Amino acid sequence: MYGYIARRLVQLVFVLIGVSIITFLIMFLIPGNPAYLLAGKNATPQRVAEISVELGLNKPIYVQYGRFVDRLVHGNFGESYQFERPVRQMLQSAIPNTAQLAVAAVLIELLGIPLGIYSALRQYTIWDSTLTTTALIIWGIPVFVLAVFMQYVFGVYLGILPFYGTGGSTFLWVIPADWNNLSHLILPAVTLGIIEVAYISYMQRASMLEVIRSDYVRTARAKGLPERSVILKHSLKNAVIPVLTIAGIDLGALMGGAILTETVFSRYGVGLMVYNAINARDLPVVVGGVLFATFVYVIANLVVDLAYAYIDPRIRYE
Amino acid sequence: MAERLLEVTDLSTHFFTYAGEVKAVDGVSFTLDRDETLGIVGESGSGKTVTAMSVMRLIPDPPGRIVGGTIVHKGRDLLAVSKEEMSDIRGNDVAMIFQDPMTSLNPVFKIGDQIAEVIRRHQGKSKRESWKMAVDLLAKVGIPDPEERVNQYPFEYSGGMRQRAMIAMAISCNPDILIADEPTTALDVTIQAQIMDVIREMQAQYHSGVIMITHDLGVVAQMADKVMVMYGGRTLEDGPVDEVYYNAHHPYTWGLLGSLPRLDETEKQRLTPIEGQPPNLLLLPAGCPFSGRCLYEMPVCAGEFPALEMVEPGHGVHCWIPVAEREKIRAGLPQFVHRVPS
Repeated sequence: MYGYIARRLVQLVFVLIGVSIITFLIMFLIPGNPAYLLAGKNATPQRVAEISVELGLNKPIYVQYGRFVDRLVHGNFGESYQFERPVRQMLQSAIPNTAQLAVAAVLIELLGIPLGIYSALRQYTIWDSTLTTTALIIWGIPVFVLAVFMQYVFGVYLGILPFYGTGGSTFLWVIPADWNNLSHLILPAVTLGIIEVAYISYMQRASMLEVIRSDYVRTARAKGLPERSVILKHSLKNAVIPVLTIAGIDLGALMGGAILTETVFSRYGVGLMVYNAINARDLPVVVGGVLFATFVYVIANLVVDLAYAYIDPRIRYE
Repeated sequence: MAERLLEVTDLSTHFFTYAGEVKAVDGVSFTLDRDETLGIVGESGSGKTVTAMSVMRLIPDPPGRIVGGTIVHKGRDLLAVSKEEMSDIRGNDVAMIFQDPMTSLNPVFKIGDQIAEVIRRHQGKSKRESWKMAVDLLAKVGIPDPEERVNQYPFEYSGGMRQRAMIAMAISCNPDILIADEPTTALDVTIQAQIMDVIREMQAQYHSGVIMITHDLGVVAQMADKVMVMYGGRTLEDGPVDEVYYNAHHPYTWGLLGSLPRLDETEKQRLTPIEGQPPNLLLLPAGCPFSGRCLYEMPVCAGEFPALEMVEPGHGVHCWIPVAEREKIRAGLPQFVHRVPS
């Protein structure tokens, strides 16, 4: 197991190097000289040349990449063109909002596991059809449509929940410490979560159906085990593996910022930050956001794989 | 007289599919005594496995359902007991070994867990006791280093070892009846003989009655005391092994025996197949399922299934051909020669 973790961590280093190269190249390849952008519209050629030297833009590409990595390693993501604030500060204020939303959405989506199992065990009954059909319909709704619908119903029509922004304070960055904070979280989290519940329950149903028809479940029945043990012990552990993978990767992806949801709910997270930066061509912020999103995504994948290895001995020992 | 362990009478198990009703098992009867081995032979789709699964009451419902008959185990009809009582019986009084050991063990639990679980379930032993018994059982079925191996997962076992582990699991509660559903089909030939030996040893030790389902007539000759020949969900002939092999009365049994390679032939000779296709279970004739492929078919055959006719004590056959006629036909066929055990 430890060997497996060590191997995965080494792999992780290479993935991060790859990501940094790609992000750097994006910056490098985007048309337009950053020196011109910084110097302003009426700058003299001398001023542009000075800024180029200052930023090291006259150096060969590998030197520039080296400086880029050096800065990243020291936690320096550069400064926003738009706000003239360090990107690091902007990330620091955006990440808790994003993390809170991601964790809440994933906790909600885990509801899909019992729903999917229930559907599978009652296959072809009216309950199964109802659940499956509902799941397919919800899964088919684009998240921004659902978001606007939720805003209208709960924020405007019923007027019981705030439908944009953030507020209040948190405990340990993500746990809501007061109603103000929680109330701002509910609508975006439910919007994101409910679509994922549909997806997870659908996947869980399929995976459970496969497992309860398997030979080893038949063996478990032949051993005279009570139905509860056949389902909860012998089936569940096998059936939940693929679904946990999806949930873990979802968590990673959401941690990088749910761009659409954060934008519709004006929730200042990494997604909204990157969205605004793209519109303003604020390159350092885009790069910072992308790097952060990739990093958490890769880490989440690693955690999922480790969890997978914990559940499934075949992976652990390979 | 040996103790009667199982008496199956007129068992019918049908599957209700969109395409129609499949009579997978139709009016099958047999008995099993202590220390006795019953071989059930037949080709794929003949109803062997469904018969065994019916005895275990493991037919998936829907689509399957046992629609008639009785399965009496030590005076108790297994079809009449509640689901809870049946799960007390499964794995305890009646245990089963399945065809494919590669997929029959749960991949995410240790072998020891999977064996100890049955012991805890039926004998109420503690975790420690049942684990120790699991080690002993693995030793009994010939797993080397059982102390070590009990901690391993199925993927660390070879196919033969997994089947040994399945046998250990099946005998763990000293069952009266051990059902082995083609236990060696998925294994290579050298391992097959070993697994058969293990089953035989365990039977000798625990005095179980064994139902051996196979399509290998050689296995039946070696292992079984009596044999039941199934085709299209029906029993066509049954009786003591020697009686059925040397004094076969059904044209299908002739065909099966005739299709075996013969050791006494010195000339290279092609095997004799049974002509035609296995029956479509949705379109079985009302009468004998073998009609249509039978070389000696008569007009009556497809219309009505012949009643049981005892040709010798314990040797029954379902066939419309008159006895005298059958004797005459059989005299003209090559005789069955016992395959030398490998």
